[in-house]
Amino acid sequence: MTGRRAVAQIVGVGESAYSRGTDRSEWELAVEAVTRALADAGLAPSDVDGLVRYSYDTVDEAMLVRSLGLRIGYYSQTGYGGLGAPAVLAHACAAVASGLATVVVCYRSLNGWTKTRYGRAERTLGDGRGSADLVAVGDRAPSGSFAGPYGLLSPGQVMALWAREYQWRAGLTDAQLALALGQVAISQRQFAAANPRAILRDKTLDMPAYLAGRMISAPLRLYDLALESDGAAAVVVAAPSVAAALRRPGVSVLGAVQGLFRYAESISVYGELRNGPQYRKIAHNLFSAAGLQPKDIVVAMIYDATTISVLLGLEAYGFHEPFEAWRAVTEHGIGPASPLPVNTSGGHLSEAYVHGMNHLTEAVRQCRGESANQVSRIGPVLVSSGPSAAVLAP
Amino acid sequence: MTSEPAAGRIVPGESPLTAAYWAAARRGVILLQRCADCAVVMHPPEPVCPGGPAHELRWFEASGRGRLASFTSVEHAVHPAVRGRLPYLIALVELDEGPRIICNLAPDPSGSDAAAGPGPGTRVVLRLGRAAGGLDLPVAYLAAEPAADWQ
Repeated sequence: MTGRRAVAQIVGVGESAYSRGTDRSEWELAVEAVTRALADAGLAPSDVDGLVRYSYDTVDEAMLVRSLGLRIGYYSQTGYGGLGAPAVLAHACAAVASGLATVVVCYRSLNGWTKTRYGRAERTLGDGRGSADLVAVGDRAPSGSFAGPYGLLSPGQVMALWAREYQWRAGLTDAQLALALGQVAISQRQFAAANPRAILRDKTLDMPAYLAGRMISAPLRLYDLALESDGAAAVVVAAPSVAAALRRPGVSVLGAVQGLFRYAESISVYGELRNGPQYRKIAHNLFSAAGLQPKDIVVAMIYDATTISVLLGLEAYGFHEPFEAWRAVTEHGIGPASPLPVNTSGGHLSEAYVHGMNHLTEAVRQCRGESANQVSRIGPVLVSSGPSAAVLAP
Repeated sequence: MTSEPAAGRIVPGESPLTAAYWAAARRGVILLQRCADCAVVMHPPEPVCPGGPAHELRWFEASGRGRLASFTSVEHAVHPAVRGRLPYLIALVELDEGPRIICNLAPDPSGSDAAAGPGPGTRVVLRLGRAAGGLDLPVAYLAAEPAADWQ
């Protein structure tokens, strides 16, 4: 938590083009995203004194230091993949609040289409050519030793298990679950249509098309799953004293949490479902620190590796009671006309999969009034990914 | 159907912590850890009891009985090693001893209502069978008993 007063502000956002297929390296894309974020902020590379990245990123700090000529006094990494999106803000705020840094760049660069495919298992098991046994290592699901031998190999398959458990505990039929999840996919595709950055901006999706999508890992279909894409995104976090000297107001980080408790690491199957009491406790503490309640939030950016994560996130962060979000989402969707627009860029399902960093850039744009799908009442925005989350405000 | 070379099996990486587990699993038996001091039961194995680092964790043979907390039918192969096994069922089983465990779910031999699949709380028994990765390990079979109370 950063406390009730914002200790840091987001003063710049930037991204590379998002695509499915690129001849540019993750290194080049990271440099482009960071350069754009600094230009957006009105800052120079010489102003940067801190870097925060995902531990999964292949573009390490030294590579950016060289390419941008940085001289920094602080760097850190967030773990567990997509939990990093809100967590980078916790790191940056901690650095700024403690005086370790004054301008911290957070970035993620992922060629998830041309290089590291998160929808597949070669990145953990190897390519499987030949007849040698493939060794599943570690104790995590998917792909670890207690999951891989059973063919539980991808995040989407784990989330299919979440979805079925949700269906059963909510008492839903297959059709009821499909209609709720379909509304998530369709609403986000509607947002993508107005977002020039969105990879699927020209691909319309309606319920018949959603339901006709082939089953990948039942009950999840093709359009329940995030895109694989190439791209990078970055945000610049600055101390209030730095932000005050810039040409336009920064976006305040009212609170940030990088939560972890037993089995809350990404894509776990052994602990409580991600709308459970421990997740709700994290949300309660975050909103308390920010001096807000869920009803004050005008846009939620909820980590959407799959559609079910959106229902779980809406419940974990207090917008609905557990196993109730499906009803409201089925009725109203999460689109422009819904009570709480969610993933207004199109999100991972329809904009691009930048491991949550693209959710941060959209959250900042909503707070600035600059989103391609700007909500009419500019106000606090939640960014969440399981037990990590942040609240931003103009 | 495919010209890809035959892929190997997917086997568990073993360590001193898990060697006993896998030796038993290859015989179709699930070993769980129980703390001799605070009775916590754990899976996957850990080196230290969360109730206290001085506590003594001991292996015991699980009953192999439990209920389905969830399952998925995998219809798209995310790796060549499982391409020839589609569709296959992955179960999340809540063992009667408490912990959750991942395994495969053998298809319903009756074939009845196969499209609908098993329902909430369906009782299962784990015994040796062919796992989707090609190794013989404990897998879940539907038990001839009524579904457990759910929720």
